[in-house]
Amino acid sequence: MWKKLRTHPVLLGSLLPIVLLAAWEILSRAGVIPAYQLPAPSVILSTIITYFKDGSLQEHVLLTVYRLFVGFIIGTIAAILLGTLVGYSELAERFFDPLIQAFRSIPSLAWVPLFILWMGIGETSKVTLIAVGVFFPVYLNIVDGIRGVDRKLIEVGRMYGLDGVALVRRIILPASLPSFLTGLRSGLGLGWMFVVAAEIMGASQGLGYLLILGQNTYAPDVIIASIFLFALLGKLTDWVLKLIQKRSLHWQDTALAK
Amino acid sequence: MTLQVKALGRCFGEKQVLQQVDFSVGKGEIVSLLGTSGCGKSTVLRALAGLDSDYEGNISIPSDQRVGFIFQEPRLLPWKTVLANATFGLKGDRKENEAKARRYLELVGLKEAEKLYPRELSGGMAQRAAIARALVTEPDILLLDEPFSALDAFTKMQLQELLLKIWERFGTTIILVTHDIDEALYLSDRVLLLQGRPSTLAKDLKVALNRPRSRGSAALGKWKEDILEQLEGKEQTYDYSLVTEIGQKA
Repeated sequence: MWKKLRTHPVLLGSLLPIVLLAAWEILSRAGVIPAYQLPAPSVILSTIITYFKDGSLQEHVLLTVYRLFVGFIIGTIAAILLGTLVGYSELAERFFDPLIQAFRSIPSLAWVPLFILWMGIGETSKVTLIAVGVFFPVYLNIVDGIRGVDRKLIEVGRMYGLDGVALVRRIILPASLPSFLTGLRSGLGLGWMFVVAAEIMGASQGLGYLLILGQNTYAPDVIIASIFLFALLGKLTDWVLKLIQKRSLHWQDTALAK
Repeated sequence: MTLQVKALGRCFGEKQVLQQVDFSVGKGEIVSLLGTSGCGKSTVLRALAGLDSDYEGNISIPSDQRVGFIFQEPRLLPWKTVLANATFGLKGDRKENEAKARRYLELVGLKEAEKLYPRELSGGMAQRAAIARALVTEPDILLLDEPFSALDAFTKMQLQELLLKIWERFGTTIILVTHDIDEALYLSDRVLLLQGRPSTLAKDLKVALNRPRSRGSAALGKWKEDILEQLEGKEQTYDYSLVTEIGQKA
């Protein structure tokens, strides 16, 4: 039994959460923890089910995921274009990089008031904020990845008559793919952070709106339900990227590639 | 003449590494560039390959001569299978290229390994794959930069035989950089010895011996002695007076 617990992939890790959940449920029911501050897990679960049954949960989740997705795509495309250029050409680096680095040192949430002022509290300002958040980690990793490509492999490409776009496509991009995928994953993580910020700053739908709704209606169960869903979705999307990463990097000769 | 080098020189910064090197290589010849490490022999090869263009002097290779290069390390693309690596230098129809690459993989003894990724190969297998990749483009001139120096003695001998087999079959002109005197003598028609600071061509030795050669033959032994004498005579690797000087101070 002890051996099974030690070697099983999930058993040991789920032990602590289960114990904590049980303790939380018992303490809430016994009235030790006041329900207006921290309702029992079962109450939170039933809140989620209620929202699910009237269909509003799906709408909130879909809208949040949609905002994240659009912002993520825009931020990533911008990062690929600029990152490839800056990584490949020293001239482009000297031209663009100082400005990009300057913008990077602005905490992205500081953009919120300006974006609202410029674009209102509609979808555009939300998606823009998310795109800005996603852009930087992806951009930095692409530039790093391209810079880190083994000079020896580039020489192989040149020996076979490749240069310019062909060299980028056949040697530089595949060789920097690991770094790019790492960038995508941290970009996605930041994307989730910014979708919360964007929805808190004013939305009538979305998981971030549920957070505010819970705050304004004194409903901690709604807040916790929403936090839980954010965690679940964040984990799920990261898992998808991790799967893509594993699939496309199976050739890597590292300790993790098994 | 297939390839001609006139007054080749190369500076790295202030330092002149190579000076006034002249030689030519005939079609189908196997020529070794021999020298101690740091003598600039790889520099010559990189200039010949067009990987380095900051040299002085003149290199002429007829434009119809295709040049292939085999590096010291295999330098396979890790994200491609052996087969895809072998077709890397080819353009055009994929099926045809793969059929062609398979023939060369068979020649280098990697027929069964075409689906493997570079991380799954041993050092010898990886270098074989690199040789196949270079051969697939059907080079007229094959440049090799210490191609077997990282391999164990037995694998090294196997690949030397492979190189001779390739030469017999295709009549490829081969220029090989090596620091291994035995390897140079066993394989080459001519051995060019680079020596000095900056390096110049110290010796152009014709190895007039029929193939197959015997690795331990007396004739090769004699030439080896000559080359060693030449190296010891001029190449003063350490300034021993400095050692005594430091010794006295301490």
